[in-house]
Amino acid sequence: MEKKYLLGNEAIAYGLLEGGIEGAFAYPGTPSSEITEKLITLSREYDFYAEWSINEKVAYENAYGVSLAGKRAAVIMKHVGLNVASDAFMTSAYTGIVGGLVIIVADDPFAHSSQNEQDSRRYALFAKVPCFEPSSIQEAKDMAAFAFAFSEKTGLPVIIRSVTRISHGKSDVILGEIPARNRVSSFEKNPAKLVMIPANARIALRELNKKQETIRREMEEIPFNIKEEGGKTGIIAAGISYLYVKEAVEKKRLPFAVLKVSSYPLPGVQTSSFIKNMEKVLIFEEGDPVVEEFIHVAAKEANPSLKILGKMDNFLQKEGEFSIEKVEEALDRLTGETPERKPEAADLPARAPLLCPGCSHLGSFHILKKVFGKNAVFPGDIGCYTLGIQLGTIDTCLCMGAGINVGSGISRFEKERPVVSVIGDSTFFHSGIPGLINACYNRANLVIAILDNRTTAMTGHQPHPGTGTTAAGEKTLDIDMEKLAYACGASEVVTIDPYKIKESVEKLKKLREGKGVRVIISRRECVFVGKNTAVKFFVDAEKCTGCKLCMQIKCPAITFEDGKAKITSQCSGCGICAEVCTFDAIGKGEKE
Amino acid sequence: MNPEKCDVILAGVGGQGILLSSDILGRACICENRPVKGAEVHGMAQRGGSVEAHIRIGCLYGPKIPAGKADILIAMEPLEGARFSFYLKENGFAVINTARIPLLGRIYKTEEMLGIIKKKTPNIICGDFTVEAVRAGSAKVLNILMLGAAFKQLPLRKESLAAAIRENVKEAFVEMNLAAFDKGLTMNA
Repeated sequence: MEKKYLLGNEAIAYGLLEGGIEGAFAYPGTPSSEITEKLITLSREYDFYAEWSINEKVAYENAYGVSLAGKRAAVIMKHVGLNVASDAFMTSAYTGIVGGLVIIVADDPFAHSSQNEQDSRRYALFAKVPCFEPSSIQEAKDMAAFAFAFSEKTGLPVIIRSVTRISHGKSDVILGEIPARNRVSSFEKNPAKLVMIPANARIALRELNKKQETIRREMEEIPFNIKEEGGKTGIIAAGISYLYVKEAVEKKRLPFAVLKVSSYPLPGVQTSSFIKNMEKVLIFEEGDPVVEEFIHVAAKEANPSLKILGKMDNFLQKEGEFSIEKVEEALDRLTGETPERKPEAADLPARAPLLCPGCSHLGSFHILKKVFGKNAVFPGDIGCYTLGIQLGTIDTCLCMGAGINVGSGISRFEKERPVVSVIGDSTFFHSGIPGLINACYNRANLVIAILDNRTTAMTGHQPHPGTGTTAAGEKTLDIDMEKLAYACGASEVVTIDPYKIKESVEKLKKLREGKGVRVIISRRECVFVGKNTAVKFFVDAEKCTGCKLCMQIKCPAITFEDGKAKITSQCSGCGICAEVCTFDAIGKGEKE
Repeated sequence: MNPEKCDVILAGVGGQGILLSSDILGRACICENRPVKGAEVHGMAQRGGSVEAHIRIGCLYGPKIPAGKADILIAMEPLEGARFSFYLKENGFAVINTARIPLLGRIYKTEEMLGIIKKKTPNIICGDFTVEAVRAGSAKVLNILMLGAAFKQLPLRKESLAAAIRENVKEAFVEMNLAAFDKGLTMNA
């Protein structure tokens, strides 16, 4: 058996491969993207299908289709992606599946790179489908391989809930056998099962409810729930918290019983027998108190006097992640130990997330401010450009695709100031288009700025329908955004180059005075995708008056020393600063 | 030091090759059949942010090193070294690059940063490793050069690290990186 050092997400990809995956569908989103990246690489070697879909709903429905054709399929997304896919997801539990269907959802406790901390286990319980939660990277791999057969056994889609520390952690991982994928299958007509008209849906719900008993029984048998005997105090840990608990309990030599729970619904028999003779239990889980609520219910019958400590009684934090330190601190409070003094981080200036030197968004935002004024309303969206918050050009960020609609809504009653919705190219394809059509159809008075950097930049430069390539790197259509915007009903579409400040500002003057839905396409490749130039810009200290106009762009390559602007070696040669400078103090030179 | 277990923090700024260093340490552990866990903390994808990587050699549990427990800190930038020095255990070992990467509109002194680290431990090797990396062929080999400088304190064999470098670095740059590693060794003789 081969052992590798893998990122959690890579390990999950290997697990899906070992489980016999034949179709993979995903929209990128941190912390899930590397699963699909790895699957795309593996798909070439092992000959299965993998694609970047335009959004999670589209991905889900494609994977469901593969399942109906009898093959094993996976759909991969971040937690909020499941909101987008939820319409399909909820009813797919009613119809059930044919080939194994596995949903990998990467939650983001502490919202490291997300707009919320929602807990996907709630979705599994909501839809009444099984859910597994790995506590280590090895287990994430093993569960991904195991989940396909479990999905087929129960006839339901199965969720695997990862979290940031699993997905972005690394570990030695023992890999397993990769099966031959030689299923011969095809779509079988079965309208009673697959066509959810009301009469069928009522029956399907009854079937789904009946399946719950089977699932609960199966959860007693799966190899991932582990019970370790101990004294009258028990710890129940779900997911990555289990590793923190193990390390802390071992270090402190505590005689506690530990139950690791890895499946939802919880294994009722095992859980009840664990809590039966306990005096108290402490429950660690990231996200909502899902396990804790279950224990409260189970204790009513198994052990009514059980003291249950967790999030619901505020013994533990309700938000964010756990860590070894936090678990140790909670255990100290439980046992009455004096906590060890923890070293604290020094108070140092943070390196705030910034747009990169040469980022086209720096130019786009500067242009938007010049044309529409800094008091214009800028409903925003999700992508690198959300960092426009630092420039005052992102006023809202709710969810993927919201910016156009929020802008359209605001514009109904905001008559004094221009409303300029900002959206990226990949987000536009993800869920921006319906909003554009709606705004045009309903005659909104709105400017929509599509910041087209020719890639899905923030999640690691995945292709999309405006890039001309597929996940596999094959040539495909490159959707003409200008024509698309006109076809949706835009009254005016103007394309600008965000590196050319003066020219763009001039081009947009007429659009600013126009009416209806006007679309700006600000197009320039992401600096990571485009070719590196050999050019670098310099400040002529003689000419620089120290006016700080160039600092307003917020380019990380521009610093201010001894009363003058200075351009550091980080300069990528975009020249936006030279266009902005009114004293002609910034000039072009060769890179060292 | 426990020869079985060693917790290493790598710190620096996005683009300095921290994740590559961490992969090389992880891969070297696989060569020696040691358990290993790791964590990378990189926020939203952009250049120039703080990056920290945790490598736990011999670890069976979680990927993150508790505060005050790291055996080794390798920092490719002094502010980042100071920022993440709270992970170091008392009298732990630190390798610190003194070459600064400026912050937008903020000035800080290398000496002050070193002062913060010195409060944690006297066992520091510091110097302008960026200049040394350029002399060894390219500023890009800074990460590998600094691994070399930390080698004496790492419970790993030189041949495992060399094998891991060969596996993780593009073929055209393998020799330059191995030379940088050797150069790093001489800086902690």
